[in-house]
Amino acid sequence: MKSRILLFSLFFLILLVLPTPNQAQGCQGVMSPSYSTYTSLSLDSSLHIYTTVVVDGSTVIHQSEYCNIGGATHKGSVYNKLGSTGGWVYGPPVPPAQYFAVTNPQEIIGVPGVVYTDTTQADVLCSFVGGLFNSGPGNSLIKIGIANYILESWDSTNCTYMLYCPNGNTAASCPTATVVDYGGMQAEIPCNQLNYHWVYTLVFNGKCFPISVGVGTTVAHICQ
Amino acid sequence: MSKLFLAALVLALSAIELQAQNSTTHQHEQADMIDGSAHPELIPDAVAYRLYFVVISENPTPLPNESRRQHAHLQRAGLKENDIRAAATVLANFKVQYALLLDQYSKSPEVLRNSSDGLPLFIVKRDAIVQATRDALKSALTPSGMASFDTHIQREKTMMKVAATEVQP
Repeated sequence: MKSRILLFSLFFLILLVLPTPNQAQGCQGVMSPSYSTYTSLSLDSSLHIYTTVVVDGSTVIHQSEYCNIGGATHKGSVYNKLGSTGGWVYGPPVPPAQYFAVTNPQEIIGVPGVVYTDTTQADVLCSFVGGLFNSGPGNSLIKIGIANYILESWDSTNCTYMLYCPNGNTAASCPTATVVDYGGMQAEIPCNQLNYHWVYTLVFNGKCFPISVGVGTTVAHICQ
Repeated sequence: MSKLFLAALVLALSAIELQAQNSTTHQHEQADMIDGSAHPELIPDAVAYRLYFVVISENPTPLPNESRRQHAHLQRAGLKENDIRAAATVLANFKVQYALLLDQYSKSPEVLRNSSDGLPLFIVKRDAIVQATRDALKSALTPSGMASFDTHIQREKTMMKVAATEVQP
């Protein structure tokens, strides 16, 4: 009697662990995630800082007829937090083979000299296995630098200014010796009536980005 | 009886082994990436333009904040006002066509049966839209504006991470 119970228990165990017909087909191939990411950065004359992150691509499925992926979905998500603004943007769950692009644009009004952290990441999650693609977290330091210039000369069209930082020229993040306000003499207030010129520059991870915004003014500003 | 018990035990162990082998179902490969900050020269132009267009293109009737954002990006690309206006129109067309292509592909029989069989043709069509947009920009922008734009895209490669399959399909 004891042996019969043991035998019955073993038979039951076999039934439990035997693969179902669907599982037994196995998965001869694999899925290859193929996603690309890009982070753009910009600044406008109102000192808005813009960052946008995108993940674009699809998962390449090989020999899908052997894979038991019925019901699986993939979902792209993009994290973009600029200063204290932003967070995750989630794409919808889609079939594993679908191609998609998810973007996450953020903007803040920047204060010159203040350093903002932009944290970014792009993920693709599979409903069956979890993390499928991860771009890795990116932490960037973004700052609006400002340099002050003083009027040096002008002609009938342009004004030329030279670097002049009240707190010392070494304080400027992205200095150039001179700047020219092209066409400034034709402006509503001709540039030769504005003794100073401020140039805002975007500083990304300590390097000057080729974005600058110039403003004519009558007041000097410390450089940052 | 002991022989029967032994046979049942062997069968049970075999079943467990078989189950372990099938745990590879829905397996994923680790994605290989080209990091543009280290190797911008490895990122193909077609990929760089596509990612840039996807990020900066807006709908034909954008919201005010979308217009401002796009304006800032295009200004950073070195475009003057007349070129920015011309580029916005071309990029709106890209956005519409790209969204339409993705939508069509998502409804294709291949995608619906979890297959990538339709992907090669999709990629041909996708890259054709990117090339057509580049051609349209070349026609719409001033030569100096287009030169600035092209230079900008090369610079932007440092901000991209691209799937290795895009470089060596």
